[in-house]
Amino acid sequence: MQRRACDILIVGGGGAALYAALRACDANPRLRILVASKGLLGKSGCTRMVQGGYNVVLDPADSFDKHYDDTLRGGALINDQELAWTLVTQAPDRIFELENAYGCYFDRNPNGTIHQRALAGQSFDRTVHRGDLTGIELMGRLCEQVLLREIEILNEVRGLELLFDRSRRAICGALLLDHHSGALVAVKAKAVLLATGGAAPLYRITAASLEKSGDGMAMAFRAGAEFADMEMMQFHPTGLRAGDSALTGTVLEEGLRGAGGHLLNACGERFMDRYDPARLERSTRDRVSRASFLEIRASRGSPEGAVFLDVRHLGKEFLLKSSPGMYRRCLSIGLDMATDLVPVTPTAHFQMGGIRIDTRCRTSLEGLFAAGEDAGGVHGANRLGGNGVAESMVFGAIAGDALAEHAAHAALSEPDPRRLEEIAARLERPRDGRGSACALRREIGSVAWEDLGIIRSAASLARAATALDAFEEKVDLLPIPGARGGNSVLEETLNIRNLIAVARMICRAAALREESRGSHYREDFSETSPGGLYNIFLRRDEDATIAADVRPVRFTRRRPEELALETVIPGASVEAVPGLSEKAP
Amino acid sequence: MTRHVILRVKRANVASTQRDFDVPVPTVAGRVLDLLLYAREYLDPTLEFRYACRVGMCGSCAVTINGREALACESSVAELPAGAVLEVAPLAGLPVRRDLVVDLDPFLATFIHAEAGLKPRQPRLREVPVIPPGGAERALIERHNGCVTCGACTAATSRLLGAAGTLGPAALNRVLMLALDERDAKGHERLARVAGDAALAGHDTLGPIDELCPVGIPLSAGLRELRTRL
Repeated sequence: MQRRACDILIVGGGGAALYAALRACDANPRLRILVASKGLLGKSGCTRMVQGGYNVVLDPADSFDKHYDDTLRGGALINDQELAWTLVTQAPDRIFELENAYGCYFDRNPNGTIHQRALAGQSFDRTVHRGDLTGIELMGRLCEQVLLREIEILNEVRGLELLFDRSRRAICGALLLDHHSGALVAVKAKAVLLATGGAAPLYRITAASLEKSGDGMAMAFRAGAEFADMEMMQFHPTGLRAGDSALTGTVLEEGLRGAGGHLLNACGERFMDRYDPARLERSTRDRVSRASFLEIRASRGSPEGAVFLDVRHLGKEFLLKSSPGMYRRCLSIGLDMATDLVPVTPTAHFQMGGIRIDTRCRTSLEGLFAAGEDAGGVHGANRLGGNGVAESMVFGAIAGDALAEHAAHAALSEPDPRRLEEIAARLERPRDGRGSACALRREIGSVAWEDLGIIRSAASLARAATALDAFEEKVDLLPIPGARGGNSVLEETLNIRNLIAVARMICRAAALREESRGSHYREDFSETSPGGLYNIFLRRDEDATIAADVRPVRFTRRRPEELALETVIPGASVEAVPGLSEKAP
Repeated sequence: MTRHVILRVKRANVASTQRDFDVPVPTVAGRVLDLLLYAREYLDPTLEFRYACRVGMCGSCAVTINGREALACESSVAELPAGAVLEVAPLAGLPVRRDLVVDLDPFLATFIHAEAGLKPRQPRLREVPVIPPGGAERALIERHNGCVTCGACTAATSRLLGAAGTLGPAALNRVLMLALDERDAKGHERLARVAGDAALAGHDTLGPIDELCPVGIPLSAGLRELRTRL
């Protein structure tokens, strides 16, 4: 086992991780900062894949109050109101920094002011973007800034477990696994940030970057941290359905529905008129996903399980201007959006639930911080498009500042040697078991999709709970051939173990919430209950069971009655977007 | 019936340097990435390659496919006839870690050497500056933006022209963008650093390298533009 020490350990390589590293470094350039990224820094994770953009109040006609109310309404009123307020009020400073300090190129209006568009659920055009491939811009610029600073990067080194000090009270580092050498690396740190991303790839069909497996959440769960809103998982309604290709599940951006795209079932019916006749395809992500799922389940989808996105009437010129990246992506699989129907399926997209944090990104464990998708509470029961990457930037920055502050007065501690030994012993267990990691992963994905997914019930959740127990036994029997270095089977086994830990929390919270709210839909409790304004907090007990605590939402800034009205969506405001179009075919 | 092709993987750091996998072509939208995933899942769990986003945004999966650099996730196999041989090798000019996985650090070091990141004039400005998109500089930046740092162009430069004395087109492309960027404070210093670059001195066009960029950045035109600014 290798041993390292640093001031700040950041586990993760996406937007929140990079932002935290930059801010911590700039707060105090003498800090020794170590970033351990499971994939390549800045190339793994989901910030890269952001299409729509970043929600921020910049126009004098817009306001924090409007953005805030949209966010709470979108979240079905159970957001942590302080976290959501932090998101809204700090979003502008991060855009100024991304533009002026880190050099991002955001699309402009012809007069040179920044261009903002509206995604679903917004009362104002407040999404800053670069074409429909905003993530490349953000991550490209953040990466180069990280490369140019004294920040040590460990590429393809994943977090395995958090380490406690001898008092077993505070987190004092983490145990990492170097993919290439197979070395275990015990890192002592004054402060640890988890920013590894969520667990949407738990599901058979997902939009997320496929290397993600909720590692940060699973590590925090095993260490006993408290979680919030774990029943809340967002499904995006228009994931591409491309047979057995890895492209299946990748998102076709929301702007296509916003601009007037239709959804058709296999009979050619515009089925949204049966589910939400007023808003049709412009309804919220959860409702459109549910409708598509039900159509497919009722055998009104295509044989491979898809409905169809029809944007033919919008015309080639418009599509090329508004969604050049999506147009090119479809063309590359032989579909011309201007003349062809595009097969789509709901796809697991974003995890609202996560590690409970405060407005300084502190978790319930001393020395442990979380940001981005690892953390829960900002989005409540449903995230608005454009609020996800804003969260990564805003809370990544807060985490960076908080880590630097914490490191300034904390000391390095020796990890509890017993825990280190236990973890190492588990990795060294006999490797000649049975089963296949890939097959087990597929099995878990199917169970999650059918029973823990878009539509749930007491019966489906009981089935899932039983299945997860069985998976937990199976994963310990998986054979792991060969040495630990460069071993994709070992990596997949670790992924599966983490996904099961997250799935168990989702299952437990979903069973407790006996109503439907936001992205959580119970067939057996299909209405939103006025008594449902609570959050479910989970943590792992000493005996490995999950303890739950249900607490009422704290209405520190808005009462529910103040938010009784629906968000007023301005008329179709999706216009031609400057940028990128000249590169499209 | 499912059509099969031969996926020939040039492997390094294992006993045999080449291995053929008999793999089915997905019925819809098959990519080279799908063939690699199939080979690893069903034929050889030790096969190592990189990927993450699967939609051409992360640039992790650049490899050499039939002698040409490309992203595995964007390279269609739909047109391959049954029994065709598709040869996949690691990127040229970079140390191979295992199978198709190269050490990208020397490539990333080209950006560090070029100081290819904004050195801001006004880092603490608390507004978004008004910059009309129609200006000549901005229009040029727009054409050269969108790099996913996959390394394809730099690997091809090393393969076709030799790596000696050049940072490669990717880092130089970013230097050009920064030279055009009114927010940057390091323009001349950065240009001076790359003034002796072999790619700038030697070539009017990068020839086939121009066609390789997965996001369509006009690399040769960029080098010519950069030369005029030295």
